[in-house]
Amino acid sequence: MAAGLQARSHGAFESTSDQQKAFRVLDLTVAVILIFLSMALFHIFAMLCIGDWDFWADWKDQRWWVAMTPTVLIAMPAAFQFIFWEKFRLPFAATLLTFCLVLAEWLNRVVNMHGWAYFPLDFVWPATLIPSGIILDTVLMLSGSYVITAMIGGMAWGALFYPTNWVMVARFDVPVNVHGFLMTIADTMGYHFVRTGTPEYLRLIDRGTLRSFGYDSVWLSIVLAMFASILVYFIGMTIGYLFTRSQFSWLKRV
Amino acid sequence: MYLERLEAKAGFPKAATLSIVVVLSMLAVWWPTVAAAHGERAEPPFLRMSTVQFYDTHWSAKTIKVNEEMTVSGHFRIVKNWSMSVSPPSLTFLNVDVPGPVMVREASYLDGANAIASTPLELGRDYEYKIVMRGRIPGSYHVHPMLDVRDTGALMGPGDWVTVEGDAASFTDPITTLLGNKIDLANYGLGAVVTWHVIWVVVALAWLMFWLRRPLLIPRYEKVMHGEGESLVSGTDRIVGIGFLVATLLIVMGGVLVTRAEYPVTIPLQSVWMRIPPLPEQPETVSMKVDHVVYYIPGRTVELWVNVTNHGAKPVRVGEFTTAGIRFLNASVSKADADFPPDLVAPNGLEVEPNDPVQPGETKSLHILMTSEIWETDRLAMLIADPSSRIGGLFMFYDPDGNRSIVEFNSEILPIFKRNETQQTAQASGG
Repeated sequence: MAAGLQARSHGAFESTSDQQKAFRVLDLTVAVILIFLSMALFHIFAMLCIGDWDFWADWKDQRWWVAMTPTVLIAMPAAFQFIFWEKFRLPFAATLLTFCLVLAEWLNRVVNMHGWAYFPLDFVWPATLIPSGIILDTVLMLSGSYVITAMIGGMAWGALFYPTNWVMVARFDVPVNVHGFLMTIADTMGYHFVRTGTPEYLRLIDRGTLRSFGYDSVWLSIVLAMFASILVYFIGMTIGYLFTRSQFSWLKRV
Repeated sequence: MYLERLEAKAGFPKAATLSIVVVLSMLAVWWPTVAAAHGERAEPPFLRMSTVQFYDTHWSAKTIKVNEEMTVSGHFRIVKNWSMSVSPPSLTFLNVDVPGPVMVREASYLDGANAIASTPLELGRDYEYKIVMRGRIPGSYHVHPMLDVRDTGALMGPGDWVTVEGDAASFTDPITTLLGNKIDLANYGLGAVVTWHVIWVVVALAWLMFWLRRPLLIPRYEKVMHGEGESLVSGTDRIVGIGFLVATLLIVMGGVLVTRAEYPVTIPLQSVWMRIPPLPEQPETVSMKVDHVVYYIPGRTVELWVNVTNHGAKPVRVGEFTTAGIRFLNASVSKADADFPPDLVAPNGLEVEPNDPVQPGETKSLHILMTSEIWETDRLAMLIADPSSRIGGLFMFYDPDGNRSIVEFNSEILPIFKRNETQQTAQASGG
């Protein structure tokens, strides 16, 4: 079999060693490009779709942030995951994207929001989806099924987001008395560190009817995120499928 | 060939010089210049004249040190004739316009009530505000009171320069939680946030390196295309995958348990709307009926023909017209406060004909001229480009004891491009 493979792809190289070196150079080149591309694409996607929810500590509420972030952000990992698994049997796309997103977000927060706009980093830190990405990848690798990945992995993706980040959020949700008002530390930071373009009323904090369904809206939001992530996973996967149909002729030629 | 090379060499210095000039010219575009503030002038005049009128604005200090406090205080009127181009102030937030959190907001008050939350405001009513700021990053900043209005945007009051001196590193923002812990908001919790991010980045890198270390694209693609994809994921890969899956779940669960033990009392983020009542209404001692208003463009003069009625017990005179934070003063009645930004005042900008007091019970026709280049420099003359060409503002009338009556003014305004048109208009109206 190995001989057959070599025979099939030997043409332009003088030896198998040369061929492997060339393939490795291509791997590394694509990997570097892919990391920067993923950082840029996923960062822009996240900023457009969840923006302020991820920017500020006082926007990370128990309803919209919990429900919106994983639901929206599973689309791109699903698409990439399909491409990498379908064409290369590589189960790391979701981890790669969530890893790149965190890098890009920290770059944005440190250079832009802290360096240029003077916000303290403890007020503008980003959330992470890396654990959700690892689960999504491992479920796909172990099951080899997109349906199971969507059902189990998608649910886990949505379910893990809040506990993963709650370990960072909790310390900002400690109560404070601010001139007679009960607020969290995060709320107080939002009040102290002036944002001229983000007045208080713009924050979507626990707004909606979810509280009428149950006392703890966070659990309902997590369940919503779990089910919505399944649906969005299929949408993202479909985009990946459409991409693989049209964009891989160049690799066949290589 | 040799000659071509020589020519190319001879041409090199010219090309290089040209290239350097081009590059330097391009760099000059991005060369940082001093930020001169005054972004408020970008707001169209109707937003500044037919929404909120700030007056009595006072900056308690023009220079503070890092960690020192200063206040911006004053009044504002939510005008009765609120522009129909924007949403009314059904929900607002008292804000302050500084270039980012170079100063922190310690407290803010509307009519003495805590203005930490958003509130609806009433048309035609006055409010008293106070914003307490504290220096954080050294520099000179233009500080404005500002009112954010839902579905409308930010409406700015007058601005003045405040200088923060000292060392930014010495800034602290201490608060005490309800559990009695003293913390500094300037760097609170960052260590834990970074630690968790580093943990997950390390786990992600381990998973990525586990796959990236082996041949990736073409060999794998080739195998998948020939139906040999199953061989690309080995039993070891699956075992490692299970290990990562379990480890990830354990780290998340362990983190939650540890954090819950560390922070047993947490509450949801708070977002409160409240209703702060306006200041008590003042009795209407003076009323004004507008005949017509023109803007004489070459003379940079707004001319009004109005009838003023004094309903009070004492004679009154027009002392000031305030709009968009700009003050036009009748020098014989009002003087500018020493600490008010001079670029926002026209000390002799208000002429009243006749300049005599309006006696109690009297109705007097007045021809008022407001002349200043501020109409142009502050871009209020851009009214002609607004969707509703109306001028608005507050007239301040004073009696001999210095008591003030504020009259809200709002009118159509016509541009006049030549003097004789003004005269004709004035004659036609009998002004």
